[in-house]
Amino acid sequence: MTETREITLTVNGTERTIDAEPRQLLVHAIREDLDLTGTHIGCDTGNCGACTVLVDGEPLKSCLMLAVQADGSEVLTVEGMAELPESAGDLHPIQEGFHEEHGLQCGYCTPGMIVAGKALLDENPDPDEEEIREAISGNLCRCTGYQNIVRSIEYAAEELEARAAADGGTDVASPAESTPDVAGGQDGPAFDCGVENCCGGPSLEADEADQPTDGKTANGHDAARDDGGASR
Amino acid sequence: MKAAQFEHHEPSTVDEAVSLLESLDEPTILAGGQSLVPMLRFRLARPETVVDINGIDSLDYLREENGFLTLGALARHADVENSATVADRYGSFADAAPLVADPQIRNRGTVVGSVAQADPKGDWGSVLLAHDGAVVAHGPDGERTIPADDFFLLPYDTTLAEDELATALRVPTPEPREGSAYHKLKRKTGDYAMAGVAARLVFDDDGRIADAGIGMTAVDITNARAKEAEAHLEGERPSPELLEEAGELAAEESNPESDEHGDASYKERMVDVLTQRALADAAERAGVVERRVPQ
Amino acid sequence: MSSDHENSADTEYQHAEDGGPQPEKHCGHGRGGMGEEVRRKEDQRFITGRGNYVDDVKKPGMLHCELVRSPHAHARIEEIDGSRAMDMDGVVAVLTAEDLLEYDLATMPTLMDDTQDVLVNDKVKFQSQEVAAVIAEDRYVAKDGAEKVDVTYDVLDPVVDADDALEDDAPLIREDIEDKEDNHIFDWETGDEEATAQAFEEADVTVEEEMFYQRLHPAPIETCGAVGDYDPGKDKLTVHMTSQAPHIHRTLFAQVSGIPEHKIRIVSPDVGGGFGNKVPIYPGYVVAAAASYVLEQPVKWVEERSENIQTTGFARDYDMTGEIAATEDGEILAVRTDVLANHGAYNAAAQPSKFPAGFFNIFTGSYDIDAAYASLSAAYTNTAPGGIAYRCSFRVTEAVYLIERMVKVLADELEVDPTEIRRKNFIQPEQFPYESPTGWNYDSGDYESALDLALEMAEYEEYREEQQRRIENDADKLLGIGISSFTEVVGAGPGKTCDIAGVEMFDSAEIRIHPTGKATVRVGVQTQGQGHETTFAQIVAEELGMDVDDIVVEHGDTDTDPYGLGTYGSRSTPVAGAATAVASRKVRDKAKTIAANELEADEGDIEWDRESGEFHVAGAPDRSITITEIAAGAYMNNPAGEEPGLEAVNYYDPPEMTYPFGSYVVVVEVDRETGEVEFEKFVAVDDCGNRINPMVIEGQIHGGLAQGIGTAMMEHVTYDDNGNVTGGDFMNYLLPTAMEIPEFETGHTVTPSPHHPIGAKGVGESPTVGSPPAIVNAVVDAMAHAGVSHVEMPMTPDVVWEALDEAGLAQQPAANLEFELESGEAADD
Repeated sequence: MTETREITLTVNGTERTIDAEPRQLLVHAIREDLDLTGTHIGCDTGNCGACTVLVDGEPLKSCLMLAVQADGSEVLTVEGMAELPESAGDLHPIQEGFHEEHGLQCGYCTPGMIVAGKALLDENPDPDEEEIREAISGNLCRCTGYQNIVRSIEYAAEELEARAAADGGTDVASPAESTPDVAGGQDGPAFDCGVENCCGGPSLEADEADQPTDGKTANGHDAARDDGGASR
Repeated sequence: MKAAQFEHHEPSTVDEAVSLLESLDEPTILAGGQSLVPMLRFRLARPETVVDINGIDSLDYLREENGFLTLGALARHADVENSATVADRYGSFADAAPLVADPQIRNRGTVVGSVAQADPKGDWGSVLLAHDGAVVAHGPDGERTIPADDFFLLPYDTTLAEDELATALRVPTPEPREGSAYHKLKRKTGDYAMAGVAARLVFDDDGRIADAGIGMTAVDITNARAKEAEAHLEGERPSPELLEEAGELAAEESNPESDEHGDASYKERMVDVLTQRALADAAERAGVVERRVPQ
Repeated sequence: MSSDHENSADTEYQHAEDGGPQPEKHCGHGRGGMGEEVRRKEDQRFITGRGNYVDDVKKPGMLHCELVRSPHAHARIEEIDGSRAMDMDGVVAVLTAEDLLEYDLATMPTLMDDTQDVLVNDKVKFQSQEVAAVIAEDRYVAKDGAEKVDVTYDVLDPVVDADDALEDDAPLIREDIEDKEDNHIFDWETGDEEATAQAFEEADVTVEEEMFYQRLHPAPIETCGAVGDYDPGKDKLTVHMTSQAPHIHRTLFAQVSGIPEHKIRIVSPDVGGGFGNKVPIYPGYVVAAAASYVLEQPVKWVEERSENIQTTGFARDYDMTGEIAATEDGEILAVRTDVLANHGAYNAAAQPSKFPAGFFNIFTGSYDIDAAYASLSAAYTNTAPGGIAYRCSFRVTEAVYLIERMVKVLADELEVDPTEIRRKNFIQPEQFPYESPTGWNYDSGDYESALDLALEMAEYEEYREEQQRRIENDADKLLGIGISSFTEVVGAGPGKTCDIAGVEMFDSAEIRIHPTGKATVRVGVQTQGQGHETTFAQIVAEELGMDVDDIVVEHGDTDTDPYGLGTYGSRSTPVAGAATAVASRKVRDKAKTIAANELEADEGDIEWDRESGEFHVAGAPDRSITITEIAAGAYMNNPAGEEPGLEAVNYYDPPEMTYPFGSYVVVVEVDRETGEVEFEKFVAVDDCGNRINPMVIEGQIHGGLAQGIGTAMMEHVTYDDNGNVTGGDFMNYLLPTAMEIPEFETGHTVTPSPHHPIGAKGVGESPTVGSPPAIVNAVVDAMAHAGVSHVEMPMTPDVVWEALDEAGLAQQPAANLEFELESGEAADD
């Protein structure tokens, strides 16, 4: 082994000191030395973004940076999201958004997506769909087709706005109320079985095929229809 | 991928960096690292020593002064993307910046580093050529300015000396009737260019082209100028026919190779198309013509 | 074993008795049962960074493995010298084939009964093949060591293309196979050659098109990896590995290593995407396990992205010629195809062993065609081994591409709307169950309803008009509309026809209801993101009237889970989902006995009410009892003579496969200057039978469509003539980003499977299978008026521009520029 250098990072608000070889990648320091395995590695060329973390507030690929270069920096990983002030001791609205909008499947790209999404909302609290897609264009996802990731970040934007609007964050709007895409005035069967996320309830991800054509095509009860696609 | 061992040096001044470059055996300069770090990981680059310039705060700037737009060696792609000055006056820079790689890479990668890397598929070299720009280098004998035309030699090879550090690049501030643009074709977001063209047009009071600059990406062994196309434009008024002729000349001047980014013949045709598109945008941005919206 | 009764459809569910789609009955009772968009139970750990993937597994004293790989595609190894590596600090061992031979681990069986070197013994057969392994204390040092392993190669001529490989003078790749004198693997034919030939002779119209389904890689964002962890105290080998089929992998490990199966435990923890990539066994897994066994220390191997794409199971690589014979009014009389398959250096396709070309012979698709014939040959080449089922049932993707492309070719030849051809030839709802000319028994379908819905959602007629307008106006962007009306076949077994490495393709579920009324469910399949922890819980919630939150689903550990064949080929819901339903009903049967005891009624009078989720006495709904109360009864007040406890297990052997289907409509804009393609509209109507969780289904469809776009537009594992992989990392094996993927509009019809216990069919793979032909059809459609009949995938801008240019459609920007000088003068004075 060669000489290592002592470096100090503030990771998720806590100062940590580790020894790093100059050649060690930041992502390896985070995963191996700091034992924060939420940050993932998905490629060797800097294309996939699974290793995205915030370094001094900026989203960077931690596989394209040496650990020694982060000496003295503040690093935020997915594990630190719930500690942020806007998380109010629970999940961060982006994390909540990924859960509510089904923005993840295998979960491997998710931490990088969440961090990239946070970086976007820090700069632009009210992004449109194109801006969201651009902001996550350095992160590959093989499972979701991205649509629900976009929704998840939109959810977070709405939720953060609602929390900011609410007095001191004590009276937080419910996710369903604060989500823009609910039922948006779409014509559809008015049937409501009364169950949340079912039938006419506040379903956030309703299928688009709701018009029962000639009484045969099924499922007249997904009344809510997401209209987000019309613009793209 | 895991890099081989190297020593890591972090100078805090340009002089310190230059003396390291002078004293160390074949050092490699690390700026943004977005190309170098993958090469280290694949062990395609195996330097004994790395001189990391990220601690030289004096190189972290983007400003207009003394008749130039100057970008220090630590100006990141994102700094260009977010600069109001650039957005207002440097169309080609504003076009190119968001087309480089992806957001995270733009936050870290540097414009000067990209030019010094001299990858013929890099975007900034073309912009620099189109603007008659220059690279500012510091070596043991002090500072020198290398015109863009004299900078690129071969893929990944420039006229920078081993012990020289590229500290900045600069382009002249725009003339009153000047416009520029950059067009790039890629297979997907984050990909290098299949082909790219930067164009800059300066008009005289008469509405004729006084000066034209065209730089081409990924269609030669280095970023290259389309000199005949430039000459053909100068002294003329812009017209669709003129642009078409310039596009054809630029395509003839290009020298692409077939590779995973496309066949040579396609790239050549795209030089034609992108040249016309970039010239049209440049002319419009110069305020000389208005483009009618096509049917 | 399941009885016929258990296998038959539950009459409580709506089924397509008349063959047509019917409304779902179940829209949720608020307990998280069938049809509810339950938010996923597995999300919490992933969104907080607490997932546990293989590379997150750390063990005390764990060593790291780096594989030494061949830079050559075809080369004899003359010498391997690991001494320089062994001299390095931190290097613990250098392993070669010679070392593995001692333990009889130098080779491993592929799933198609070929034999692949774990570490090359004699001759390298593809670039990056595994030559030696370095085990070290640190992953960087392992890499340093790998560089110091000196290998002397005698480089041989490689052969990369399948047709070149079958030439007489081609270099012989498989000298290790006794008496092998060429690179030919197998010939296979299906259908009635003579009847097909006759139909072609008699037909008014015949069309033919050649198409290459390029080599793809599933490329899950997590690469493959393993941690071998041999415990000498217990004499037990635990292997944490990225496995879609942990039980089969345990059996194979036992068979290969000779370690008794009960002394092996495979743990497939959280898996970061599979898509078929993690079905086969790879040398790295074996080396990590073997090294741990030999060194008696845990050993981790995690592959790099470039290793993943360059060496692990690729998909497709089918060179196909399709032909259709039809009447002049578009009735399809026969379809014929000839295929050359490139399988790489070993026959390592992953499919049931009796199906050398997988289920490719379902190539008559959604159409009622009398005569069909396919002939197929496969060849060894000096490329990575594979032919795996990337997000599809085995080779169905290739089959669907063939028929859906050919229908478009026929429509263009006849100058009729492609929807017309489809309608005229669809298998009709009343024809189900339908036996295809190549012997498939389709369970149910209503193809025209799905197409109608898709066309309506896509505003098909309006786009057709717009397309015409653009042609007439010589517009700079052409519009193309593509359709695919596909049928998938998923859910393998039945066990009698389908097996993996000899094990019949059933699957399993075990349900234990605890005294407080909570349940643990264990299944034999393994999720890689499909949401099993939620959807399987929903099945149990539905079947037992439980709250979905009271059920935990476990999987991926061979020590605790019932044996199963794994998750691929969209088989989890059709097979393990069925097992879960049947096991639930077994629990329900037992619950009735306990309910009778608790309610002091005759067991025959106890009724199960799906709506309330309760058991009650017939005619007295107020005399009711919940499963929670029954669970307490089972443990605390068990009826005399009854076996205590409340649990059940089911091993489900499906009587048939299921046949999900759908219609996709894709509208694209093609830039005549550059060949760039933009998606204008993307509509997907899927029918996967009864739906468990619409949110999860939609997520699966989005993901599969994105992969279909990757396939059609950019993905391709490329090689140069020397066998060097030129598309072997994420710089050149291009995965679409959020910028290339459009907004999808999804719709559905519901045609339940008549033989599945809950009428479900499986859905995860339909979009990958169904979308590529729709996309290619759309791009071709944009240029069809100028005579373009085919564009090869991936349709990168240069490929599309080439087609535009040949058709005389390519255009220059100047054609579109009109300048006006500021002064108002004409520009071109």
